Amino acid sequence: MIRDITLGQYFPGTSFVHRMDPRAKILLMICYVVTLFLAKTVAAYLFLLVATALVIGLTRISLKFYLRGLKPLLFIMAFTALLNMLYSDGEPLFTFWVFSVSWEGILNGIFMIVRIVMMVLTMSVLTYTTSPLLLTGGLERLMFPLTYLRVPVHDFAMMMTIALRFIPTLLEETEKIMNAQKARGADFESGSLVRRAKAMIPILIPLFVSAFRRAEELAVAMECRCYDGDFKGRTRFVEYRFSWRDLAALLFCVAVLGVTLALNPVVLIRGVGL
Amino acid sequence: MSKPILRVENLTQVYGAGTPFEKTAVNHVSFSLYEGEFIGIIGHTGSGKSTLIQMLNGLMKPTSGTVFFREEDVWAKKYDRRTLRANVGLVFQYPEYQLFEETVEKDIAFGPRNMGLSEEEIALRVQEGMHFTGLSDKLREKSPFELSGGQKRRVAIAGILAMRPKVLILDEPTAGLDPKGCNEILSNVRDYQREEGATVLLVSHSMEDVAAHADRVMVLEKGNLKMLDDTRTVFGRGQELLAMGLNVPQITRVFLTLKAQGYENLPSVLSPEEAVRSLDALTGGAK
Repeated sequence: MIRDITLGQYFPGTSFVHRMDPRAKILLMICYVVTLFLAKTVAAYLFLLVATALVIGLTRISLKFYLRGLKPLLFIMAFTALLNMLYSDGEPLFTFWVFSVSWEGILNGIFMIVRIVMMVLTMSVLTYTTSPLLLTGGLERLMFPLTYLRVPVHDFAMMMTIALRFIPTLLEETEKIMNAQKARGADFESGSLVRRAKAMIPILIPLFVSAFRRAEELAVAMECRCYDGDFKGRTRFVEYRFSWRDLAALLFCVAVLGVTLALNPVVLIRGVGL
Repeated sequence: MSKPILRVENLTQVYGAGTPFEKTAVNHVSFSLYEGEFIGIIGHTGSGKSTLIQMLNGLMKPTSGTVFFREEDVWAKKYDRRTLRANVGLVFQYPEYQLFEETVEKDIAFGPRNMGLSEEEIALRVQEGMHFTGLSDKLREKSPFELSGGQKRRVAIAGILAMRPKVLILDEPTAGLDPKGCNEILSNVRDYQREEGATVLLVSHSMEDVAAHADRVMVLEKGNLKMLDDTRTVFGRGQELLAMGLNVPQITRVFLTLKAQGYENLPSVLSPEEAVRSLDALTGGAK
């Protein structure tokens, strides 16, 4: 069913990770993903797998939900792994047609999969433990310096919040309209591609109409509460504060970065990125 | 009694099985509906009414249990569920949000066209649908988006009636309409039921409407079927309904309260007219 999509899903909770400052979570996630890309050896990857598992454990969300988030990426992962396998230099193990597969290639392919998996898992940790409101709030606060360049950071953040907020609503609405049209005998599953595309019209038109109606209602409701964009002197209902949790998480990330680099002698000697 | 037109057995629907959000929306419900009946469905918000009716026309597959239309299992392998949906017409809540065509006529024709009928038959069905819902012929070529809320609702209902369903299910068809519009729509439904000999299921929060039209009333609470009996019997159990957060028609409540205060020979009534008649009978017509 449509509502099974986990896009941007948030699982309410009170774990260590849930209670961190959203700004810290966003920054540390970026730092962590960079670390993932620095790993070059089997030992480093094994270490990172353990570290990632630890973080996932700290969120107290069932592993099942993390694995479900990986499913749509299976194809991309398989594809990248294959490309890496075929286009890596090294002693060929065997060759066929114009391709040669080397031990390094296979290793690179596996590394690639592990890297993508961990990257997605890390991002899932962020979105699963941070409500959309906190997420965009945190982003807004982090982008604050851009306001000096006259970038309307607040408005972008508000648009993002609204967009995220309405994803489930629109999905629900889509399902409702689909059911209503099915009740009138609409058929979305059979026929040629053109026919199926045409069958979407009875869903798309009501969906657009209701999206515009909702947008207008929301705008009026916001204006009724005197919403006026980012006027000077606007105060916040929730002030974010860094706590010992965020410090601990920062130390953890630094430690992970350090150990990863230490397990990477080649990178240290030749320099990053060579 | 004759064979039931729609029968369900141990119908159960569980949402999100195996997740922390697991919820049993409908719990082992069984009943039979017969041709030409008018059934009212009442229940608190979230009592499983909407889930139940979506299982009746094969839109939603039950987690367990069986739905029989004319004694045929609708989830049997070769069963044609698109035909079933024409036979069991379902009007959703706020059905006006499903309109999409350029003209009223085309929108009403959507259902009949999906049934694969001939053009003449479709034209006839559109005519019929508009007649039953009291839409004037002038609206035929208008865009449904230009109509008033009440008219849009009629167009949407006409779109279902045009399929000539044997069982017509309406999920709060009068929500958000003014009293006059409510009465008109319900009497339209009544006309359709009489002329086609159809079975009608009306989900409503208005006890007055249910009391005025239903032959039998179904009461749902937390996914369980609490009562299914003729209207008078169900509303006679006012205390139980009130305990479920439901209500009885106002006049019924007045009489129940008077009865509790000691006027024991008052009968259970369903409408003001009935109340006047029973009072006349008791007082011998003296004013």
